[in-house]
Amino acid sequence: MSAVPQGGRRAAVLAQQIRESAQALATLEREFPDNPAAMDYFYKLFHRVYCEGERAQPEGTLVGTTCVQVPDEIVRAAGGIPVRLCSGSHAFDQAGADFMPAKSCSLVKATLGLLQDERPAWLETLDRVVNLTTCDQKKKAGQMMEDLGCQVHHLEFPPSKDSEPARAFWRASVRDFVRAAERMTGGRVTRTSLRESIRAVSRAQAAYRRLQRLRAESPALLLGKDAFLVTNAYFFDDLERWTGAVDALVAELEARREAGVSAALRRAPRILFTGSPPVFPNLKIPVLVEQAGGVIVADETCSANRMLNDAVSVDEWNLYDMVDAVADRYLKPCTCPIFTSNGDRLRRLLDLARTHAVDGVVYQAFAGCQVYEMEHHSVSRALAEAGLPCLYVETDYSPDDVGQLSTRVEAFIESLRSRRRRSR
Amino acid sequence: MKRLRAFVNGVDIQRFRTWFQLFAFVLLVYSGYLYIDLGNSLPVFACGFNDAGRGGVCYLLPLQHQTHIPWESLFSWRALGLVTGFLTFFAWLLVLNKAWCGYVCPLGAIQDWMTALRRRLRLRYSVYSLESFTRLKKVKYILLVLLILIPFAISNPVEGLPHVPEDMATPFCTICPARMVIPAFTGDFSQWTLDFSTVTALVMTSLGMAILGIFFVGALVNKRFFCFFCPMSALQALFSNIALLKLRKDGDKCTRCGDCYRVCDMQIKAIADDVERKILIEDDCMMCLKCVAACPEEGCLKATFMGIPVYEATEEGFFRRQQRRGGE
Amino acid sequence: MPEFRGALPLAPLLLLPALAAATEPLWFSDLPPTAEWTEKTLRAHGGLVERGRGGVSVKRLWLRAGDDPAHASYLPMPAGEVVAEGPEREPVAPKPFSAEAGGGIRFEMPEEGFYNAYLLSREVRDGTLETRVVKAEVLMHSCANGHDRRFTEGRMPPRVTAGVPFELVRERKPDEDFHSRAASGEPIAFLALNQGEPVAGAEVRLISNTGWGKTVITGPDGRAEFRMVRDYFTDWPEFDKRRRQDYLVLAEYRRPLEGELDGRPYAQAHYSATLAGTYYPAEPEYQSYLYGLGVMLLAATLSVGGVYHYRLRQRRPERRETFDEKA
Repeated sequence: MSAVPQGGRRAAVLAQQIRESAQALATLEREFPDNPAAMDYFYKLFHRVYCEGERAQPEGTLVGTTCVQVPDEIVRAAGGIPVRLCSGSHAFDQAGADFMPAKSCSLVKATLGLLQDERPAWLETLDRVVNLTTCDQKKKAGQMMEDLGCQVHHLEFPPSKDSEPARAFWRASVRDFVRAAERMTGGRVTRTSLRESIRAVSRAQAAYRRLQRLRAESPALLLGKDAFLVTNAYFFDDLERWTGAVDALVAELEARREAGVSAALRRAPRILFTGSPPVFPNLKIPVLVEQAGGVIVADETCSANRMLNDAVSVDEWNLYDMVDAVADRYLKPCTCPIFTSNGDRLRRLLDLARTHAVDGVVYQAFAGCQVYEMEHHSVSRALAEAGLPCLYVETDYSPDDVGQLSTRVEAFIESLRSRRRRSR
Repeated sequence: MKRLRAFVNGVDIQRFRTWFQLFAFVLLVYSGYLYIDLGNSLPVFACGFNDAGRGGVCYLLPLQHQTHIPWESLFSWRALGLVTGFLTFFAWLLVLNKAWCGYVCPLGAIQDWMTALRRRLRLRYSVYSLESFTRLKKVKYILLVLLILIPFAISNPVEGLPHVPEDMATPFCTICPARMVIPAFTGDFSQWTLDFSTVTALVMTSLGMAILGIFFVGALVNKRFFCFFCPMSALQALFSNIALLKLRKDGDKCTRCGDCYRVCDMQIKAIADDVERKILIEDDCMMCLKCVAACPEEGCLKATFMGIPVYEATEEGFFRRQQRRGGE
Repeated sequence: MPEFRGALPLAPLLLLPALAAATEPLWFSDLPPTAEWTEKTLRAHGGLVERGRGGVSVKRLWLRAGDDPAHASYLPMPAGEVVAEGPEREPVAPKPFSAEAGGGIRFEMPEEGFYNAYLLSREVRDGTLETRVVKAEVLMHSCANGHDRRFTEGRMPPRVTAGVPFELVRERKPDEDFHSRAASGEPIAFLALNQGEPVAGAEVRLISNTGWGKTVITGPDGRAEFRMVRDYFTDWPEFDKRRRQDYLVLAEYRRPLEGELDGRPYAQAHYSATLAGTYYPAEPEYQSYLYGLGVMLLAATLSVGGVYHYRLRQRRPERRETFDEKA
């Protein structure tokens, strides 16, 4: 392959990515009536970053992360700016197929596709990546990122989380990561810097939890597609600004609640979303659900709830304890399906269903994401025992299956509606 | 009411506890000068050897005296002291349950002060491995059995067995660091000696002083070092199920994030891992309620008194504490 | 208790009134004359007691004669007035008793605190009014009754009994409580009082049961201070920190006084009083701060070393697990 046609192809990929982003944004913004005014911040943010290639972050070294379980606090404390590289772009997914087998996970492929030469402008300078050894595909992707010229830190994650040795191993891994992060950024993790980063992330989490609390109300105050956009923005937005924007959204939703304005009808089936993460611009399934008249009120995915729900709790504000506290937060509550056992995920799903008065569950599994596919069985069994209908959707980033999927989603939502009617 | 509850749940329990402990310390260690006397069946280490200042006496001291009783007297009026002593102890325990340890015990407070000192020196703490923890936590039960059996054996010599020497009459007090530490707070160092009068006394007091040395280092390195071995904690644990103050957990709300476990001074893993039990007071628990303060899940952990919630985990409270704490 | 066992062979002899030499001075002691009587006693904070009905402590005081506490004889109760008072100044009626080996008085002590018991006698001899006061000050304390300091402090100060013409009072130490004991090598002081008024110029003699004695003349404050003798030296294996030793205090003084008793005139009065007590080895004789601190510091140092070593080992993860190569 010569360089010129390659470069030309890359430019085409980027153009395609911009096109699909603009299209997705148009759907999210225009096809739903009466979006909260505070969501404009997020629509504009996505437009600037995804369509215009603008950088949302302040000055500083960008450090790419490939998993929500990479401790952001430590990257920030070292003076870096964490950017989550998980991409939802079909264009990048196709480009990434050069590296991975055809039947592998869209998200991993898209991430690799994103890191090839012709990147969005704001990502051009990024060459430091923290790759977590979670599922096989992400593990192997790390080496390919090195081949793409990135300086990759392979952050080692234990395959189980319940045992004390696993916890000790992960703590040691995170301690090593403190030094690695310092090398990446040239900064230094100090007591003050880590304390401040823990608190800044904690403030963001508090804002997220306030938002999530409002989503538990009925009728729903916020559509799931907007909620996913908000949490997606956390991947790359300036932390303080993001927190402020979420607070503004919360304030607006509270005002709307007082005014009796809701985002969905009272009888709209309430959906809990789980499985492979919807990442912009691939909000295909959430959009289908809400176009069909359902409303996603909660989720158990690593692009939203799992990323922001669990908080660091520090006992002694010294480095020895703060680093361990950060490590524990990224291992113990994690409900990722890569672990040997996953009772916590089931309990989490049932708790979310209970607290959010959920009518049904939509389970998305990316084709090739074996761990989510494998957990489908135990999850649907547990949900059935709790009397919760579950729609299992195996899909990828391609838009080809939208027609077929919309029929299934519509049928599912309709069945939930009639179930509701029957139960009254 | 709702606002009051929100205020209480937002409280920085550590700070509250520090002040409460200080108050309790002054009450138990110095109020004797004001002739305050809470009796001699307290479920905390209000050391009786602190003659001048004590505002009450640790139940283990009279218990060892009361079990120093011949078998036949167990069924006479002399056993009355044993019964009333225990009932008083039980009544005290009924109210605060194991919170006596976390909020009132003077030796506990001293250990917490040593922890604060270590934190300021920026020395990291040690924890036991899970295996040693499981092994060590039995020690307190062994001590409890011994402190009852040894005085009883003195009064009831068994034919053929060697006599237990009279110097073992209060075996636990002799080796308890509180005997040295607490009177020292009123300037009384008379317990810091070796007693050469008999071999038994020499061995026991040497053991006591050695344990004191280990206590000073241990409490600086491990949080609540001595409490793992405390026979009072064991005695309380036997009855903690019926006490009015309870620590409850709603396992459904638990994400098993382990925040509670990692702040627990007593390394109680069940607080994070057990999602089945509704009432979670392990034998080592001192009901300091740090776990409740460290829990970000609304209503997952709570302390209740006679069923009424007094302190509850809330999202708002958690994040408020997270921003406030750590100014040091 | 070897102190009194030595006196046993003498006891029958001393019962004979003919041996006048050994009939003075008289004093009260709680040490029983025979092992048989000893078996009935229990050790309490105030000395030896017997257990009465309902668990009340009963004190038995034996009347003894002679100025050597180790060998003084046991006597039957002579004629004389017996007076006793409880801690709240409530009158107590001691019952005289006589046994084969002697006699004395016995009374119940239901209250916490000090009981005073006296044997009083007055007679005119050679134109002198002889007034003799045999006193015992007995502490009743059981830890089962608690240690309320307000209560204890209220009952600590020594009392004099109205109507007792001359008596010895042991001065309290500032930090004394119901658990305090007199100790060898430590100061001990007595007041000679006449109806509560200090008596100057009285001759006060303290005698220990090892034969040591000292005489002090009281000053205007009626006070006589002694430093208790250190007279217990033994090999370490035999040392007994609870070894009881007895002391006896005698006081007497004369003053001109004209009067008549039972038709017999006198021109002067001679007062004598006795009080007995016990003392024990002092704590510094068998306790050591230096060794105590040494043991503590050694243990602390070893702990620091242990923690340091453990943490050092923890730094090298590959060393955490060791295998037994011999198995």
